[in-house]
Amino acid sequence: MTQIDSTTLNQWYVIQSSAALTPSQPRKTRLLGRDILAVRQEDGQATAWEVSTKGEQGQALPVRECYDYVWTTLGEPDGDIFSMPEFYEDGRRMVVCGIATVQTSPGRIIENFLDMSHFPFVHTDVLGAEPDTEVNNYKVNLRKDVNELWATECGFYQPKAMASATEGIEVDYQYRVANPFAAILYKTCPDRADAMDLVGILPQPLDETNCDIHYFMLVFDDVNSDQELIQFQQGILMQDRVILENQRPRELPLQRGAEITIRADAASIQYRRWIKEMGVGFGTL
Amino acid sequence: MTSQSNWIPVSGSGDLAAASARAVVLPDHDVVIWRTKTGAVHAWENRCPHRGMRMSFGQVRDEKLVCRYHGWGFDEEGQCQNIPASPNAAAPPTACIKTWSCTEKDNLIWVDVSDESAGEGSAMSGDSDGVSSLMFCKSVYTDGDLDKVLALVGSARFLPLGYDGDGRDLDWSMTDLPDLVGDAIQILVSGAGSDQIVITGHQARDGRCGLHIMTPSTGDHDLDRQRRLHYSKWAKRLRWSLSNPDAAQDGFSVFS
Repeated sequence: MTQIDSTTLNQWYVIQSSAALTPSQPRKTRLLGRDILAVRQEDGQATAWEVSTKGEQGQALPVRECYDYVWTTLGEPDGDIFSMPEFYEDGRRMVVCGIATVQTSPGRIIENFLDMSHFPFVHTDVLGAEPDTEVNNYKVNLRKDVNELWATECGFYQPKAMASATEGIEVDYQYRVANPFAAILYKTCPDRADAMDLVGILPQPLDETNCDIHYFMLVFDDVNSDQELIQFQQGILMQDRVILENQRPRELPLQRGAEITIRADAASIQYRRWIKEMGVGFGTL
Repeated sequence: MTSQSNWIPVSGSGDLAAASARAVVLPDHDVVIWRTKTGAVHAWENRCPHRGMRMSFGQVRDEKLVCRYHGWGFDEEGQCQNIPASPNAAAPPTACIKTWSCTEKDNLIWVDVSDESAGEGSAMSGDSDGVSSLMFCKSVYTDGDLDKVLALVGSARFLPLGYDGDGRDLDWSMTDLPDLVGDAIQILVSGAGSDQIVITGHQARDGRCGLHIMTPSTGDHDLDRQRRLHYSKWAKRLRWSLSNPDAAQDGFSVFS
């Protein structure tokens, strides 16, 4: 593999949920093309190592536990893991949905997550339906103080916006790309007019075109069980997976004009520009 | 056995239903072949210019091939005509898909992906000399280069319909069919049961190739149906035999 750019290298990546990493269940996995092993020690501490090509224990990796996930890095991150204060709000449920293995680049995954115009075609009668296909103008801002990309004032008619939705609603969305490989969606909470539900995707890039997507919901929901919420989100992700694994190239093209774009793709256009400026070469063309 | 023509037989006509699309993998091209509701066939690059989705996952609506991802609809010339996310704006002229010449002959779908192929069907010359109205029976895919596989197939046992021997008492001869465009062989079986099989095919990728098994029509509808079924079964047996060369002593292998 070619040398990995420093932006990609110096990120924190989720490698397992905290609950799934137990002393009896280590996780042998890969990150950015390297073999790693995550182990929960008997004293409760989460640890991780690189594993050499001969299968020997290599360099110890930094490990953090945050938002019910185990994070590590192969580089030297400038800062901490992005902030998500909603995690600490009273009454919210953090639902760790599991891992979806998808054969594509992390960039294609993030971009699909930011895209509303596929809802009527890929998530038919759930997140969208014909003839309500038009994507109204929305705003995309690069928040330079935190180096995050936000898309706001997004609205879309959804027949079944969340597991707890019983009828179609006009939902308000905000997208937050907290780093090149982590994105959170804030959407109208069907139960509470004053709050937004969160859905997050944290792709763990196994290599340039293979990812384990860790995904979660952080919601106010008194109706559905965790299992029902997970099934809903899993269903959405499985529909996306059919698309994601059949895009060519699997890498995200960053050159201007490589793919045709329209105004509804504003978030995608800005995302590509943003990670290109940061020098993200991993999983891109 | 190399043909001078750029036409490649990629599918049996009957394997592409009306208003449907299918992927075809050629050595250097990902192709989508699709058929309109009224029966016309088209061959395009299998990629939506918007976000790279394979068009073979799309559906045919109003004689347009509609991308599975965002519903962009492309007309028969490969030009995008509607973008549902932006229903009131005209699609940009750059939103088009590369098209290749595509035609049907002898119940096969033929594609020309050469640079000279400009979408306007370059005329398909050649006459299936001595082979009248071929019926398509079945396509099978197997490992190996097309030339080598076709040569190998020439040594297989052919078991005509209604013949219940083991094939060892039959004589057969294999000839190239230079006049049938593409790389094709004709197998004439004589002896206890006489019949004729025509096999053509195309190189795929990663050392694989596709074979199309055909046989001439007799004009008798019921008999033709039986013969198609018979040679479809034989084709499956051929595929098994090609992928299990070590089982050549097995009576099921057409090479035993």
